[in-house]
Formats: sequence, structure tokens, C-alpha cells
Amino acid sequence: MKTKQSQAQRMPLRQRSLCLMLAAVMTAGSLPLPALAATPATPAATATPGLPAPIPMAGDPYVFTFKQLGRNGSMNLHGVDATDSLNFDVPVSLVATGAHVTLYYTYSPALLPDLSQINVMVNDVVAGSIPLPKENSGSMQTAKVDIPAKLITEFNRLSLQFIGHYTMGCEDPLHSSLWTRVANGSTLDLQTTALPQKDDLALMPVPFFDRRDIRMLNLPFIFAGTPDNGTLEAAGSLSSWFGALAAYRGARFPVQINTLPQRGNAVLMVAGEAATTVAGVAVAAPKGPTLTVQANPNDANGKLLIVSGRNIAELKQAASALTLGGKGLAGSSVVVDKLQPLTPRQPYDAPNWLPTDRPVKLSELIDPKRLNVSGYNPGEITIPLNFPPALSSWRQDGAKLKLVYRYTPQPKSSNSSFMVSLNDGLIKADVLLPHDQLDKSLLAAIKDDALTREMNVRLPLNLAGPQSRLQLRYMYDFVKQGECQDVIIDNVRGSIDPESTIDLRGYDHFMAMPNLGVFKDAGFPFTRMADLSESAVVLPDNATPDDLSAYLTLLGRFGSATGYPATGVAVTQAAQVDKVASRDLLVLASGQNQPLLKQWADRLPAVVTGDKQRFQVADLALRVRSWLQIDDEDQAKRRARLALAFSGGEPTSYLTGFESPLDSGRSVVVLAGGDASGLQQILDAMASKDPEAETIQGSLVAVRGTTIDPLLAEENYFVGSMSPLRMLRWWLSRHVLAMFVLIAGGILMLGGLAYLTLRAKARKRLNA
Amino acid sequence: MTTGSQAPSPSHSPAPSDLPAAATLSPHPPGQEPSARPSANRLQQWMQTVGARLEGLPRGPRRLVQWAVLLFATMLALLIISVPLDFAAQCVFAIGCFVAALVLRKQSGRFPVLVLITLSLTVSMRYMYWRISSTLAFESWLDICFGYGLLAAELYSLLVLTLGYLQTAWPLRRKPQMLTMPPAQWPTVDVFIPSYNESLDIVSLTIFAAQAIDWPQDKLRVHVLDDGRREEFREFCDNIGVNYLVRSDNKHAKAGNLNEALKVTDGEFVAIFDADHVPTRSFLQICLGWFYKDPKLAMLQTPHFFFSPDPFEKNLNTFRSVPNEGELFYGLVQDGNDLWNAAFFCGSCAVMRRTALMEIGGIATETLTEDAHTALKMNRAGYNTAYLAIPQAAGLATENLARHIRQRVRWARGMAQIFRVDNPLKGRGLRLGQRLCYLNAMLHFFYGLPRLIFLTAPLTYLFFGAHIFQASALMITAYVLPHVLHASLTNSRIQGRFRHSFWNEVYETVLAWYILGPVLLALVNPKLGGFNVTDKGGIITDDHFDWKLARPYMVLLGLNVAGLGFGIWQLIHGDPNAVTTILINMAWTLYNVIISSAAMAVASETRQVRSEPRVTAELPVRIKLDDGSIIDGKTLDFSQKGIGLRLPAGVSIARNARIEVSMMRNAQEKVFPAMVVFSRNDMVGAQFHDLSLRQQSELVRLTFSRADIWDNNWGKSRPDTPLKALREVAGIGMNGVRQLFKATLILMRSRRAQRRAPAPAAAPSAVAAATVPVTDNTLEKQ
Repeated sequence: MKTKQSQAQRMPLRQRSLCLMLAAVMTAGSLPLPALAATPATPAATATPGLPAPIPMAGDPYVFTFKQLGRNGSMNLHGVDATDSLNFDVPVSLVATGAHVTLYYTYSPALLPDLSQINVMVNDVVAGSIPLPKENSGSMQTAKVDIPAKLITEFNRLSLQFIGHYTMGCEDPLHSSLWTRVANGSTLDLQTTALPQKDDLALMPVPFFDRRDIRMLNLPFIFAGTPDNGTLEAAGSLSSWFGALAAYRGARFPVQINTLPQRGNAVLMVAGEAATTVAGVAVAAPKGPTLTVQANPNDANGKLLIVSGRNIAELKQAASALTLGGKGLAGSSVVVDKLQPLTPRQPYDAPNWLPTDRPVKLSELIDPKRLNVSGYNPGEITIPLNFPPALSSWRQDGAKLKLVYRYTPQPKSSNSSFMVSLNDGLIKADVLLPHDQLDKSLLAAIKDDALTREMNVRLPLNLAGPQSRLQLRYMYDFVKQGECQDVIIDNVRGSIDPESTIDLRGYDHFMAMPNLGVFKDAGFPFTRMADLSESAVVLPDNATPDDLSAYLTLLGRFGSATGYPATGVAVTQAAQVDKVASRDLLVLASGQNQPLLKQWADRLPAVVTGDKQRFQVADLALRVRSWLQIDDEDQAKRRARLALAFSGGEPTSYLTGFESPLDSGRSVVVLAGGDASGLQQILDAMASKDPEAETIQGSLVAVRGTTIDPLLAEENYFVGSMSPLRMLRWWLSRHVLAMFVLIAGGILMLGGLAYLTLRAKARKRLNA
Repeated sequence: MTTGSQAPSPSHSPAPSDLPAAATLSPHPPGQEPSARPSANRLQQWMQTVGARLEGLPRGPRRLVQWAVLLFATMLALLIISVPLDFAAQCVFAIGCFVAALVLRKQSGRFPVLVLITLSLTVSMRYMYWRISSTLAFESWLDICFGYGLLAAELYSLLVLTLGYLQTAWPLRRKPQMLTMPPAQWPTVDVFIPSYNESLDIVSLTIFAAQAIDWPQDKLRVHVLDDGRREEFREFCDNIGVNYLVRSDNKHAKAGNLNEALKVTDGEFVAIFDADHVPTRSFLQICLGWFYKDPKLAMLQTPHFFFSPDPFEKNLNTFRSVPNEGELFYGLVQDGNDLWNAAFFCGSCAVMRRTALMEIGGIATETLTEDAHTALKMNRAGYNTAYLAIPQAAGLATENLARHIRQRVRWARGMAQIFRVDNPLKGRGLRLGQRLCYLNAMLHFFYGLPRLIFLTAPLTYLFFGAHIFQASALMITAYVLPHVLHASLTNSRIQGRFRHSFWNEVYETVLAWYILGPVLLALVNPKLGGFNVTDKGGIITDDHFDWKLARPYMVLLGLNVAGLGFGIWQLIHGDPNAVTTILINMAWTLYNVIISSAAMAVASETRQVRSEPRVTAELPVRIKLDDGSIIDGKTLDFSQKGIGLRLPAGVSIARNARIEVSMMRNAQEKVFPAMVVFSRNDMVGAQFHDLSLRQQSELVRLTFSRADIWDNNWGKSRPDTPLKALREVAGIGMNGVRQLFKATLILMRSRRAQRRAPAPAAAPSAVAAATVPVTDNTLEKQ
């Protein structure tokens, strides 16, 4: 029996099928190994707090635990023959020179040592076999298995096969004493060496982004001086593009003024007619929108992407050429002469979001090959469902999911089932009928392919977040035949028809705001237009590189939500905010550098007095909708939170949202850092995946260090639209008084008409 | 046509003073609004003002305004129906609407009624929309079966409710039309009295009364159509000078009988009376005027009024206090049908225009309810039908429950047959209003299954835990209660004088089980559905409990009581989260217990000596004693054979005294010899003695045949007050349970007695033995 439980399937986004990487993206080049080995820790390493492992260098012996490779629990191998696998990838800029696996495992004391073993396989070739002697059974063992470098390619699968037997006589192949567990702290060590890369735009986004990496992307942006707004807009579109590519692992874009990073890659943006030198790199006078790739003078394995143009428009054009027309680029430098004009985006049409105007086939959401599984308990097929934010589930039963699936019917027994879950919650389970019952059914008589079955499910969306997982699972019942007759034949299969559809038609985009939860998850409401063409970012006056970095990183987050570069974003300062009054505003502040905070103080929970922020949430807290069945416990908690917000020495950063004072129906989201590093804290909080921590939600969230405090959940305006009739019904459902007025009017009019009609009729009858 | 002219035939020349008999009648039937109090009907006045202003407009713009308002108001209504509310909001909305309905109910005038109807329909549709859109996600087969079953029953009820509103929205309240031409030009009328097995005692009353109708003698032809071919009848007819008609076979029963008679008569109009329906002397004068006002009028129906209690009234002791089963139909439904030109023939007490009747081929013979079918055919042929809500004839109600049930089953079968063979929705010649009225007349009889479903639906939850609603119990209550309460309240306002709240449920429950099978069979195949209830005969000689008939109600009651018990058990031991659901289901079950026990009470037959039902009436009489002294008194009541008298205070007459009772007609004194059989204080009961045929005829003329005799008792029941009605029904239910216990005790005791004395000579009562066995071919009252 084979238990292929590919945990990589659990990854939430679809591009991430082969996402494991064992080499650093920052380190690419052809320097000799010892030189690299001598290089100190990279700046990138400090900028990736999400992952504890240091960024490995080419040639470094470095280590990934199975947990980092995506295995959240230990590997359970059970039965006479069980296999479990992990995927790991090697970036294009590296080659593996050697590897070994260190396993921490425990096995059953009941095993026969002569027959039982664990095979370590890489790409289905046995790299080593671990015997399971009786004397070590039942306690944690450590084994190191070397993997020959020649077995390792770009995309690899590391499999552990357990072969276990407990008796020489008749054997139950699924006997409970046949077990081995491998801890997810087991490690994979890889030795690599750098592979020289050409300066070729055709490789884009490599090396600036390699999808085989698993760590957060860290890509510095270099400007000649303090960048103007246009340059920042162009940089924003680039960072959001990189953010979209790196969605599964996060991205960060530090900003440096006129300096190059010591190691690794960077993007350099410069606009101007003349040739200049930025941070020691000579940039030729552009002849138009220009894209150039060249080596980082500080690091031969690093590359620089120079985006230049004679003016801002050309700079933006160059950025667009990369993000939207990248396929046609080649060579080390390209002047973009013509670019297809962009078609305007429609609201909610982000490529990553499920469309609501047509049914979507599952094959659009996941590699159709992954819809096939084999084995008695083949694990879940996880399909990422990125629901557009702001779907109104008012009076909707749920998204229509029409599944067509096939399975291997078993001869008898009907305990086998097919289960559909959404975000780990069971939605529906079907019994997989065995042969003897299938043959009797009418369906079999009519239909030739009796194995095709259909299931119609409604997925309740009111509980589903913007990033949801549809989990499909086959579970087959293994029927024991009796002593010595059990033979496990690996003929059990399950298959979901890629033509199965999920249908969101009928759902409106309509949402009560402010809602920082969807801002965090999907960048809503800014991402309503995927290119951010109805959004503006209000930067602080005299923005520091940290502020700019926060801006680029936020746009990277938006890009990861939409899958589309922010080609339409506007960047401005408080003084010019009236020019973007009709847009949704994202206001950044760190310390006291944002005049808008004073201007809109009445809408904000905190005022800046002196060098400290003072929160004024007490009166707002009273307005919290306490009538919404908030019990005492919740209120106590809330009070505690408020107390927390007031106490404490270190400056508090906060996020808040409210309706734009400049245009009704538009939103403002304020990210106010308490001090210079406050914005960074907020970004870290947004990126946090700690399941224990509070999540960002509601209308006001305070962030202090790594502590997140959702303080308020006021909803006082609405974004989006519904059909007028639906809107009317929705409005009426919240206004009983209006219902009274309507029904009074309606019945008086109908009654009056009936009165006149019947009276006329009666008169006619009596005067006949 | 044989007219025995030698018989002492009462004078038929219409004395001029006789003619305006109808004028003494109240111009329109009761049930009328009390004359509007100015403060109470501001709404009505407002509507009249609006109406007047609207009618001031020229036709074009008026139409436009009306259509625009209709469109707009319909959209408002649809919106209201479809807007979902959460529990709290729905409660607020429901309470608000109900308060509005309570206020509207107190307003006089027709406009508030129509507003009330619209409100009720809106609330009900709102419920149904919610019901269909939010409560139907069933998971198990049990739930699906029960759930959709209940839904179907509810849809049926809603349809019938809607059609019922349509039918009763505007009772036409037609007033009698006087004939304008001189009596010499009045048309000839054939009066048909079909009979099959009624005793001569009863039929003779009808014949005398028919003869007594005030109409030119040469133009009134009374025919007795005897399908029983009884010599006794022939002799009687010959003696008093009415036509006696027989035919060779009994094909098509009453319809065939009438059709045969139509062939051998030629009067311009045909009046039909069942053998036990006694017409008043004003009948023709009151009815015929409309045929001249409306030349297309083919049939005019008057109410069937009963001077004996029907089984409900008798067994529940509600005669004249609670409106009986027929009153709703004759008081309101027919009058409402009349607006839509869909009043239909009810087999008796009606006048028809011969030309119209012949054009449609005589009385319809295809179905068991030939009367309604005949009217349907007339309407299809483009003729009008009319209803005049003035009782101009009175008859005997069915005498026991078994017969009552059998009669209703036959109507139900007949209606289902028409539904199949001549569906009013299909075919040519009818207007929409007519189609819908006829449709409801037929659909009404399909209540059997829905009624049983309502009576058992909560049990599916209490017993099987079936979730026939996929919604929380409180939510269901918040939606369903307004639907039920508004319907009850509105109907109570419309029908208050003709049917009390909750009685409809009782009437339907009694019949539901029996009507169910025949109707469904007739629906499947119009020829199927024959049905027999054993009939113990016309005269109930003893109080008894009809075990056999009561069986369905006992089962229903038992199930519901068990359901209550189960509910209590579940409250104590069951899921604490389900308490609300259990309580709500138990409340429903309790209501069902009340209704089914009330139905059971009907099965407890009370003794009745049917032969001489008495009619209460206060008429001046002069009593001449043997000694020649004369006492002026008043009648208390009368029957064909006897009379009850109230003497002036202090006067009394000894028992067995021979007296002469005289009554005045047109200044002529008519004297009837009698013997006192009962005397207490100033009340005296006397039995007439050796009346000649002429005297009998005179007696009928002076009593049963009086123009205003029935009208005084018509629709005089006290108006409905729903809570009081509920208390009343509950009281009857309690009594029913008591009767059941009593009957059980008696049964057990008699069983024990039987065991001790194996063969007591059971002397069959002579009356029971003499009863004519009733076959399916009977001419029952329609």
C-alpha cells in the first residue's frame, strides 16, 4: 500500500506547486566557493524575520527541516508498505554538489528486523535504506543518509518508504503494529555551488525572483535621490508585480538612496535625459523607456535591474513593459519602443479572484493532474479559492459547486466516502457505493460510465475568508478478507473531473465598511480595481526610506492579492490630497510626519500631542454595537483591551479605516506608525501567520511590538453595489418602519382599487 | 298532466292584498353592515371621496391612473412579500400589521374589509414566500415526505383562502324586483316537486305550500314527480288537484326525473323544490321580477333554510345559536358568487327560465351534482345566474350524522366529477371571475387530505423527530402566526354572522376522513368513488354514541393526545435546546386535540323525534273553547300537526280540552279544531284534530307558507367573537371527551351484562324496522 500524502498540496496558492527551494536567491554567480564561504551574513537575512533559518549561501552546508518544507506534523507510515513524500527545489542559480538527510524516527517494537526497513528515496531512486533492528525499537532514533548529488535536479521529491512486517506467517497488511513515525524536525542538508547567470532580460523574473525559493523575497529598490511621486508610482507597479509573483512567500522591498546593497540583487530606478551615475553605477542616457540587467558591482553573483527613461512617463512605460509585456524581452538591455495600450480594468476583475460573472472550472484553479489521487487514504486535494473580497452573502445560500467525480468502486462495503470541506469544515460527504450496490442502481443500467457521479453542493461563503481552501478527500474502506487472504492491490483511484465548476453568479459585491480584515487579506478596498487606478497613497511629508519601503511592501501585498501590477496607483502628499479626492486613500504616517492626521483628527482614534500619541477610544467604545449580543465576557475583554491601549510605554502604532471625508463611499485606511519603525511593525503584523495571535480586523487595530489589538468594529458605510431591487430589499430588511409605510400604502391602494372595481361591477350587475 | 279538479282546491285567485307580500320583507338580508357610525368609518368615507373624485375623471385618464396605481401597488406588495427580516424585526412587523388589522376590523363599510383582505393576503404571501425560499432544505426522506406534504397542504389552503376572499369580497345583496305588469300578463310557472322515498306527511306539506303560492291560479302548475311511483301519492295529488308525474325508469335519478317532467310541461318558468322544502307564498313574486329586469337571467337561487337542526346543531346543542354549516354558503358565498355572475343552482328553491334550460339540454346528468353543473352550463352558454338571499322556502335538515356525511360525500364527489369532466378553468364561455368562483366551489371539497395533514403535522416532529420545516421554531412562529391570525381575523370580519371562528375546522374535521377517499378517487376517475356509510335510519330513537362513525376522530384524538404526552416526556428528558420547538409543536397539537375532540362530540347522537319539527313563530290566534268562550293568544310554535300557544296571563286550558284555533287571513277567519295535549300555566300544546285536506292546506298557508316566516330567523345568529368561539369549541371538545368516556362505560357495562345473560330478546323498534333502506339513488336534499 502506498500512502502518498503530499503535503505540498496544502499550500494555499496555486502557483506554489513546486515551491521548495534549497538555495538562496540572493546568491548567484560564479565566485569561487571559498570566497563565498567567507562572506558574512547578508543584510537580507536580518530583513526576513518570518523564517528563522539564515539565508544559505551557495556552497554553504545548509539545513531545512521537514517543517520548513511544508510538513506541519510528523510523517506517519503505517502498513506493510507505506510511502510519504516531500518536494524540494533547487534554484536555477545553484547546483547541488551533495546532500544528506537526517531522520529522527521511531518505529514499532513489533517489527521483524530482517524484513522491516525505511527506504530514503530521491526522485524514486533509493538513496539509502535504514534497517530497523529490534533493540532500538520504540525509542527515537537518528539516522543520516547521504544523497548522491547526481540524483538531485531542479525539482525533486524526497520520499520515505516504510516496509514493515510483524510475522512470517499470515499477515494483516494493515495491522496496527506496523508503524513508523518520522518527526518533522528531520532535516535535509544540501551543499550547492553557484551557477553563473547571463545578463539576459529573457530570463525575467529570474534572478530577481525565482519561484523555486521558499523564503520571503527581499529586493531592495535604489533611487538616485529622494524619489518624486511619479518614480514612486513606477516603483510601486514593479513592487506589486514582484509581490504578485512572490505571493506564497511574502515580499519586502527595502529602499536605499544612492547606495547599493552589499550582496544580492536590486532594482535601480532613474528618470532623466542625461547619463548619470547612481551609487557608483553608470547609467547611460536613455533613448526611451529602458530596461537593463547587469551585475551588482558589489557582488558578482548579484544582479541589478536598471529601469530608466527620459521622463516619468517613460519610466512607467519601462516598468509596464516588464510587468505586462515581459515575454518579449531579450538581451541585457532593451529600449521599449512600443507598448500595447492597457485595457482599463473592471472592478473586482483581479486575476487572482474568482470571477462572479461565469462559472469557473476547477482546472483553472489547480493543475488538473492534481485532481487525480490513488490509494486507500490518498489525502486531500486542496483547491485554493480566492473569493473576491466584499462578496455580499446576504440572502445567498452559498456558491454553487458542481462536482463530477469518479472512483474505483469496491466489491463490497459501503463505508468508503468522498468528502467536501471548506477551510477544514465539512460541507458534504457522499458514500462511495460499492460494486454490488452500483450494479443494482438504475443509473448503472442507463449510463455506460456508471462511475461518474455528480454532487451539487452549496459552499457557505459567510464563513469563508478571501483566501479559502476547498478540500476534497477520498477515503476508502479496506475490507479485510480474512486470515492470509488480504492482498492489497494498488488499484484504488479517485478523480475529480477538471470540468467541475464553481459558480459565484448572483453574488453582489457589497460590504459594510470599514473592515480592516479584508484590507489585510486582500488589500480591499484599494484592490477593487486590480491596477489600483482608483486608489491613492498619501505618503508622509519628507518620507524616509523606511516609509517608502513600507509603501512598496504594501503595494507588494496588494499585488499578491490581485495578481496584477499596480499600474494605476497615484502617490501624493497631504498638501495635494484634494487632487485625488475621488480615490480611495491609503494614508501612511510614522511619527508626526503626516499632516492629514491632524486635519482628520475628529475621525481618528488617536491624536498626536507632543511626541506621544493619545488614544481616545473610550467614547468610541460606547458606540460599539453592544446590542449585538455581546455578552459580559466579551465586554470585559474589550475593557481589558482598552486598558492595554492606554497603558504601556512604547509608542503604539495603529491601523484604522473610515469613510473618506472627501468623497462619500470612498474609503480611507490610515497606517500610523508610532515612531520611525512603527510602519514596519504594522507590516509585520499584517504578514503574521501566528495562529495564536489576534488578527487584524474591525475598524481600529492597535499594534505594539508584535501585539495586535483589534479595538473597534464599527461599520458605518458601504462599498460596492447590488442590483437596485436587491439594494432596496436589503435596505428594507434593516428598516421595519419603512416596511410599515410601504405595506400601508400598498394595501390602501390595492384595497381602494378593489373597492372601486368591485363597486363598479356590483352596480353593473344590479342594473343589468 | 292530470289535474284532479274535483278535489277541494283552495282558492287560487290572487287577492290583490296578497300580492305585495314581499313588501313586508326586509329589503336585504341581514349580515349587512350596521348603519355606519360616522366616527367609525372615516376610512370608508375617505375612500368614497377618492372614488368619487376618480370617477369624475374621463374614462381614459381614469384607466391610466388605475393601471398606474395597480402597477405601483403590486410592486410595493411584491417587495413587502419578498423582503426578509430577522427574527426581531419580523416580530415587530407582524405585531404592527396585526394591530392594524384589529383596528381595521372595527371599521364599518366595505372598504375596510377589502383593505383587511389585502393585508391578510400580503401577510400570507409573505409567509409563503419565506416558506418556499427559506425552509425547504430537507435532508432525509422522512423530512422530504412530510415536509413537502405539509407544504402542499399549505399551498392548497392558501389557494382556497385567496379564492375564498375573491368569492366573498363583495356580496352583491341583490334586492327583490317587483313584477311591473298586471297579474294577467304574468308568466306560467311549473313547480316541480321531485320525490323518491320521502313520506307523504312531509311531501304533502310541500305540495300544500306550493299550491298556496300567490300566483294567478291558471298560471301556477304544481307537479309532483314521483320516482317512487307510490299509489298513495297519486291519490293525494288527485284529491287536492296537482299533477302527478311518473316515468318508466329511474335513470339519472333526480336530474332524469326533472328532465322527464320538462318534456311534458310547457310553463315559461320552472320552480324546483325538494320534497321537504316548503315554499312561502311570496316565493314566485319575489323571485320572478329579476327575470324581467335581466332578460339573460336563466336561474335564480334562494337560500336553503332549515327549520330542523342539522346533526351538528342537534348533537352539539347549538341550534340557532351558532351559525350552521350551510349558513356560510347561503348567507355569504352564494351572494358573493352573484357578483361574479357565478351563483349556482343548488337543486331546490330556485327558478329557472325554461328556454335557457332547454338550450343547455335540460338538467345536467353527467355528474352527481347536477345542480351546480347545470348552472355552470348556463353560464357557459352566456346566460346569467342570480342569487337572492331571502329565505323563501324552508326544509328539513339531514337528520343524523351518517346521512349528513353521505350527503356531503356525494356533493364532494359530484364537484370532483365536474372538475374532471367539465373543468371550469377550461372550455369556452366563462369569464375569469366565474371560472375562479366555480373552481373554488370544487377545490373546497378537496379539503380532506390537507385537513388531516394539519391535524397530524406536528406529530411528525413529536413522534419521529422529523424536521418538516428547515428553520428555527421561533422564526417559523414569527412568520406563520401572522398568516394564520390575519386569515382568521379577516374571515371572522367577513363571515362573522354566517360562520364563527374555528367552526370551519370542526365541520371540516368531521368530514375530512370520509370525504378524502371518494374525492381522490373521483379525481383519478370520475366514475370511481362510490361510498357507503351505514345508515341506521331516519329517526334516532335513543341517545347513542356512533362508534363506527367516530372511529377516525378517535384515532386523531388519540394520536394527538399521545403526541402531547410524548412532548411532555421530551420536555423532561429530551434535548434542552429543542424546548422551544417542542413547545410550539405541542401548542399546535393542543389545538388539534381541541378540534378533533369537538369533532368527536358530533358523533354522540342525541335522541330526536324527527317526525314533527316545530317552527317557532309568534302569530296572533283566537282560541274558541268548547264553552264558547274566546281567548286571544299568540302562537309559540307550530308544526304540521300541532301548535303551541301562549295564553294571556292567568288564563289556562285544561288538558284534553277540545278547542278551535282560528287564524285570520285577509279578514277571513280560518278555523282548525284541535285537542289540548299539554298545558302548563299559560302555555298550551294542542294537536290538530281531523283536519280536512282543505283545512290542512289553509293551515299551511297560514303557517309554513307565510312570506316572512323564515326571514325572521335568517342570519340572526350572534356575531362572531373569535376568542369566545374558541372557548365554545373547546367546551364542546371537553364534552365530546366526556361523551366518549360515558359511551365506553355503557359499552363495557352492556358487554358484561351480555356475558351474564347471553340472549336478551332484542326487540327491534318498529320505527327502525319500517325505515326504507336508502340506496345511492336517493334524492337527497341538495
